[in-house]
Amino acid sequence: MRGFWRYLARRLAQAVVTLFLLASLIFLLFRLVPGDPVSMYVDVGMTQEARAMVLHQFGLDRPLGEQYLLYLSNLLRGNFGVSFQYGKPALQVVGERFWATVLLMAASLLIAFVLGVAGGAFLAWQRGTWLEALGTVVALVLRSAPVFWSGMILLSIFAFKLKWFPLGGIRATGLELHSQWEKFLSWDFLHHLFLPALTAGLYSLASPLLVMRTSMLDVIREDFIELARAKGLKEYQVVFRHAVRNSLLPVITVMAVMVGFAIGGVVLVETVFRWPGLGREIVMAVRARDYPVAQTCFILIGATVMLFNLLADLLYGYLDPRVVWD
Amino acid sequence: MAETGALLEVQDLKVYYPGAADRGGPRRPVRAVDGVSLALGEDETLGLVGESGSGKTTLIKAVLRLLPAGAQVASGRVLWRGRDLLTLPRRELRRLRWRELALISQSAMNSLDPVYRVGAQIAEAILAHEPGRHRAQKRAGELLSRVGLQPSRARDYPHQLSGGMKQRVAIAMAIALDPALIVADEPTTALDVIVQAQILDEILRLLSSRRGSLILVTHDISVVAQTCRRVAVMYAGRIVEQGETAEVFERPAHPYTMGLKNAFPSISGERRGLVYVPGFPPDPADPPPGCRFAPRCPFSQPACGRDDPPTAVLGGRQVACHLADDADRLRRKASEPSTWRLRAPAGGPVAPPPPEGAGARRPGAQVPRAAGLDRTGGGMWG
Repeated sequence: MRGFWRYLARRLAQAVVTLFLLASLIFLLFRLVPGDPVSMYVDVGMTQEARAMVLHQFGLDRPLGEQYLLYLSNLLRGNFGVSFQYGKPALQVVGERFWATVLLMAASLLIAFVLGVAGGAFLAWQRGTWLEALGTVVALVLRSAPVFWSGMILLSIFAFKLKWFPLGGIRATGLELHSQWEKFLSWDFLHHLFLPALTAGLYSLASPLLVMRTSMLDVIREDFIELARAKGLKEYQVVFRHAVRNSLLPVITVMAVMVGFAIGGVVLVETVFRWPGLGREIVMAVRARDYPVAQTCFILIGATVMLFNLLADLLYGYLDPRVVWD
Repeated sequence: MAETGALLEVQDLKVYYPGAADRGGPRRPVRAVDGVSLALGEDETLGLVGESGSGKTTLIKAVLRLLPAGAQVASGRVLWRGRDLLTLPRRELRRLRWRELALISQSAMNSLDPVYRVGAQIAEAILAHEPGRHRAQKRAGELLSRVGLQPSRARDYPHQLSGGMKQRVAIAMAIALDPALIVADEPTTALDVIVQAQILDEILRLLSSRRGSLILVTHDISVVAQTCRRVAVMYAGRIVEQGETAEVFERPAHPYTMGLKNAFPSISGERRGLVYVPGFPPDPADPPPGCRFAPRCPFSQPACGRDDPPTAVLGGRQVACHLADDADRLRRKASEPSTWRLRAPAGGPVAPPPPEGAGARRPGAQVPRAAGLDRTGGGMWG
């Protein structure tokens, strides 16, 4: 157990270093892009003095090194700066959208994982039948179909024709919120979440499904599966307790890798479903050279990916007793 | 149904695997087990010997109904106390398993699930048949101490145990419900020699302290000689000779058994070179007509390569050989190394080694090798 805490502490320390590097990289990246923030949103007819004043207000007239140090020290205090466009703290601009995106991503990964594990196990069990061939093809088709297409198909069937789900957005118009929590903890939210999460989930389905299938095909040839059967266990016990349980491990690894890509997919899904997430915000902020907002988005996304990776590693260690924490 | 009072009776069992697509030729099934009959009484110990690829493992998997997908029982019955295991409904089969028929599998290393504690895995076998989680866990600890491990080992995961300890756990698991028959499939193969001896001692000790039958599958005839009262020798999917162990190895009546005996060093006996049987086992997808051993047999007659040998009964022994009546004379000749010098016998030329993957790569099978068996490092002339 002590080894575990040491491991966790080391991983968190590594995360801090990584975040620092990420923050520095993001800072430089935006300063390298040609064009300056003022020209994007300030009146063309602005005087040079007014222009200089605005630049001074945001600290953009200082040397780059000074800006960088200021930026880092602000970050350490949790201050992500003030948005050039909105004049509000960047974190406030991004905050709610960030949660909307993270929840959408988590839901889509959950769908991909659950369907992938179940489907992969099923396909392995159906080895050599037409069902297996069909399942593999379906997974690959879903992987190849762009999400804006599959999203629209789902919308036209389940939202437009059947009217089971709303056409888009994150909550019903005119809904009264009694607390901040209710934004994300309500049936209405889940109702809106379902279709976009399914779209992104089906897109990410292929990797866990195919990895699960291959891993399962290896595991069911193991002696301990045969022994489990010889013990007189019921078939479902052999499958779930022994075969699926052991096949899960490589899938966890794949999921950890997928987290980074999932963010990218989610951005497109947000557009199709008018999901008020980070995706659109990032595009707008980059275009407007709204450094604080863009920087905040990227840092939060980076931190999220790192967190999910850490969680996947911890989960792996929990599921495989052979893992030693050190 | 039950013609005899036997516990287990295998009648003319044939198990085929789908053959690999032959180069140009037709798809022929691999006849892993091709007409095996044997009987086992209560409290009887039977050794099943034969080289790799002779069908031992397939035979016992068929008996336990654990054949891999694709394997097909082409004919025969496996009677357990008079009921055919092969056609038993799954529910009834499941109840019979472990309570009546337990298994110690081929490699200790892989027969334990890596993600569960060994105590839980023993308890799982008990719980599949009797309720009571707490009692099952207590039993697991007791069973571990019966096989010479500390009960606290129950909380260990398989990777925390050595190979020998894992095999002890497998034995503890096998005796958990005091089954009427334990099938041990090469239980010592993966272990080093010293641990092998310990594990064999363990099995022997447990056998003498409990009632119940044992089938010990091995390619090591010295293990059988130590452990089993009866022995059945398999060659190319058939049993060529079976009877009392002492009698079979003392006075083998089948030329293959004679060759097998020659190919084994005797530790206590005189120093002599090893003599091996020339040639290779036949391709199980394309076995020779008549006696399977005829192409390699130094005594083969024209009839051997034509007709299946009849099963001759000599006292308590069964021998599948055309020349069984002449066994005494053959045995004298078989002890001379020159008898086994490679020649083209009357039964036809020595079969070439089967193409890779023909009979091999079935569970437990390896690419068949010369009859010196796996442990002799190649034969020598004496």
